[in-house]
Amino acid sequence: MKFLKSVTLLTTAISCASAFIIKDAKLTFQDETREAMELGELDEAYRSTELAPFQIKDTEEVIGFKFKLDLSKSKSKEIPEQLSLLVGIPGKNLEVPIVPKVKDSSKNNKIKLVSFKVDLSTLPKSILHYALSQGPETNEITATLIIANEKKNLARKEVNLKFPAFHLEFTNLTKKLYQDDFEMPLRYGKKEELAHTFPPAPKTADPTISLLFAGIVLMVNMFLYMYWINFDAISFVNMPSGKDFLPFLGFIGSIIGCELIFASYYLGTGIFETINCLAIVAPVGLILGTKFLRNFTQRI
Amino acid sequence: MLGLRYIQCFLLLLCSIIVNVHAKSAIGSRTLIVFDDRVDDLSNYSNFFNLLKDHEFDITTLELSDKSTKINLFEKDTRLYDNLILFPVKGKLYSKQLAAKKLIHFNEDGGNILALTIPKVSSDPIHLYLNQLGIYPSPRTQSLKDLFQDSNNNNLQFTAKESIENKIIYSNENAEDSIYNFGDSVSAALLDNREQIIPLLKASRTSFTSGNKTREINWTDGTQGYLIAGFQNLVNARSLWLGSVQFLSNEHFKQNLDLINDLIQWNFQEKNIIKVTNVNHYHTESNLSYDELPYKVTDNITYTISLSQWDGSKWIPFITDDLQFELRQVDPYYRITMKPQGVSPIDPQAELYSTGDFKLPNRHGMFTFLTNYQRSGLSFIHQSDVKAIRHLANDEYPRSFEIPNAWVYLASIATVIISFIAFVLFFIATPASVSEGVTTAKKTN
Amino acid sequence: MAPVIQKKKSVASKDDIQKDFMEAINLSISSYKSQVRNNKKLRLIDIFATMLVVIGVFQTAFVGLIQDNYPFNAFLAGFIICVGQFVLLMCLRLQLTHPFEGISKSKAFGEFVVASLILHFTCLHFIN
Repeated sequence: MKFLKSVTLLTTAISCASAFIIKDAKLTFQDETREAMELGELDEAYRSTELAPFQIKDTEEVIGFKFKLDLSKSKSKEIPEQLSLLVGIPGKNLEVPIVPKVKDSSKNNKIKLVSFKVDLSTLPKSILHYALSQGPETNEITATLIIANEKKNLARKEVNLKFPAFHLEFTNLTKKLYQDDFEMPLRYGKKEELAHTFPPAPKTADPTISLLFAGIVLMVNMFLYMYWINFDAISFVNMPSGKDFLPFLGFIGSIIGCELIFASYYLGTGIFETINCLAIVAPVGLILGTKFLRNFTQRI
Repeated sequence: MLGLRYIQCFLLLLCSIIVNVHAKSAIGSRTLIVFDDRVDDLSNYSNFFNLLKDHEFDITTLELSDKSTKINLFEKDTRLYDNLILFPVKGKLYSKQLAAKKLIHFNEDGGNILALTIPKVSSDPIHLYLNQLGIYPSPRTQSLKDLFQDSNNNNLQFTAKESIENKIIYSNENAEDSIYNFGDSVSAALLDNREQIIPLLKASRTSFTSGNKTREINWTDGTQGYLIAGFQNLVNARSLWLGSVQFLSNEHFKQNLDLINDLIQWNFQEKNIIKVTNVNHYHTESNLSYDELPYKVTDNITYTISLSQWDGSKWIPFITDDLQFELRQVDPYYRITMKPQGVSPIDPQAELYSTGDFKLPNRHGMFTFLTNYQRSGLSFIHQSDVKAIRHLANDEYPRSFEIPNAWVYLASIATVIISFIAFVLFFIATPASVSEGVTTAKKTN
Repeated sequence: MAPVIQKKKSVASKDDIQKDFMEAINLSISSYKSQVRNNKKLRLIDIFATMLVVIGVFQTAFVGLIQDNYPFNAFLAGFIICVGQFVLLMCLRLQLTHPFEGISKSKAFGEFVVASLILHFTCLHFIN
């Protein structure tokens, strides 16, 4: 009998090798349409199962995580030295610790009532950024519960606890609606390559259109002479002759000369050469022109 | 013939002397160690000092328990030491002599600082100095703990694979599972979000910093905390902070040797030092430089730069694939990742990088040809060359008759000029018999 | 001067604006015709001026057609030579019909020629 008793004692000691016992774990949501989630006892079986993430609709959601911590089987009856919930994305090294409120149970002072409050809106923007990004990789928010004591305060078979208590995932709609104002912190590194964009080359019209229009303009010139003749605007009655003829010839010649000099300037002659030529042609034209016009003034 | 041989020998000797001068650190080896006998016995760190001597550092030690000791980092504005190692120091007396301002001045002047803090002692000037850099070590009495570590004497150990952050400084890549021991008195720091800070070794996920008092708010939690952090300022002087003194002690020295070696090499500028040996830019087609043929808008230009790296004893080519060139006028017009072209033909110790051919923007003014290579852990390179890019001269535009569109306008100008000449001719030749009548009529009016 | 005064009178006597307007136009046309009828020089000037307008319109139409004013300086040169020549012609015409005091017609003509030459040079220079 005594032997049997000792055996049962031994087996219970092995079965609850970890002496931190977490009972009546419960998840509550601020969302009133959502019922509180009973997780029950967070024993070895719970910890070893793969947990499906809870879908969260609201980025302002506040999640309460409560449980009873039974210390009756552990060596130290005090609140464990490390009791915190790491909330974040462990894969990206982004986690914030959340400190619980701890109360003694009214019935039994070996049982502590632990409650964590996870306010999603107060999480760092970096965590929300990755948790709410719409990319192919889904980053769920993991809440890792840590309960630990110093070695001297642990019983011989007692083990410190660290396990993911629950996961949260935002719904696709929330992800779509989320206004992400997270900015990557400044870090040294390769920057985006840049290249100057040149303005597009000016379009040149089809040369045939240009030629057509140039032709039309020259045609207009032909029309000019036609109309001059047509409207009887030209006559050579007044053609200078006799002593007026030579100055007249010089006058017209110097005008044509000037225009030719301009044309050669346009075609590439330097400005100094042009000025030199003009310095010869222009005074001659001016003198002859004045002389001619003075004599001719009665007939203009 | 014999004389030549002698000259050769002499040259070789000279070369070897020059190499030897460089063999220690790229900048200098005068090292000052400040410590306090009341905090710790220096003999516990003999292995560490021997290591420093192996690196050919010229060590001066200052013991501060004697109150009359004076610390002079400068003499008449000349820096006396290249490196400064600050062990934790007790007492307010030295706050003035080792004021944070002086440390910053020392650092800005190009001196490297290795600062150590422990939870037991609060060395105010060191803390203030570190806070200026953006490293916030835990205050006195708060020390790092990790209840999940399975050790009997409370020594904190971290594995390289999980904790080492910067792979550039940490060279021992094949020893990913090596474990480093930080002893039982460790301070962890929070780091500012600054790009000059180089996080080197972070605390484990389950660790936390707390004091003796219960229910005191933790200074760090989990991977927020760091145990080693570096800082490199813009003149490439390096500071390193270590959250544990025992890390360097003889007791753990053998275990930590490779990391200590890396840290010292980095901190005192023996590695990760790069320099520019040659910069050049020229016209791509003609190979003419700016001086021979000034640049104008839309010219094709190639920019090259050669980089060397200090490997502890000599300069070797530095090879990377993220070196970028920028052409700037206030804003960057180009940012081109340069491609390594192999060893520079001018300097066998340098690697040549080239942007390849690029076209200058169609904008004139002063442009900066800039290579600003800043990477965490490597010394910074800022190589800029300001050059004027001129606009097109008036005879460099296409002539109007080369552009089909302008033919129309040319034709009209020609038409007007020819018509004008004809007009003048006809105007003179045509009599204005009746016009006289009009004018007389006007005159009578 | 005389036709202008007549026009004013007709404004006072007629009520119908359209009729009045037509009359005014007819009047100006007839006065213009009488001015030009016996003066070939004015006819010469007017036809030349009309041609300049037509060329200017064609150039603008060309710009509108190709939807691009690319050699803008060339367009300006082509257009300005038309406008400038037109203005100079009008000045000459004005001085022929109503000479300024102390400036003879031949002097006015000489000035016209010099101004035109300067205009042509400027435009040829500007078109590049």
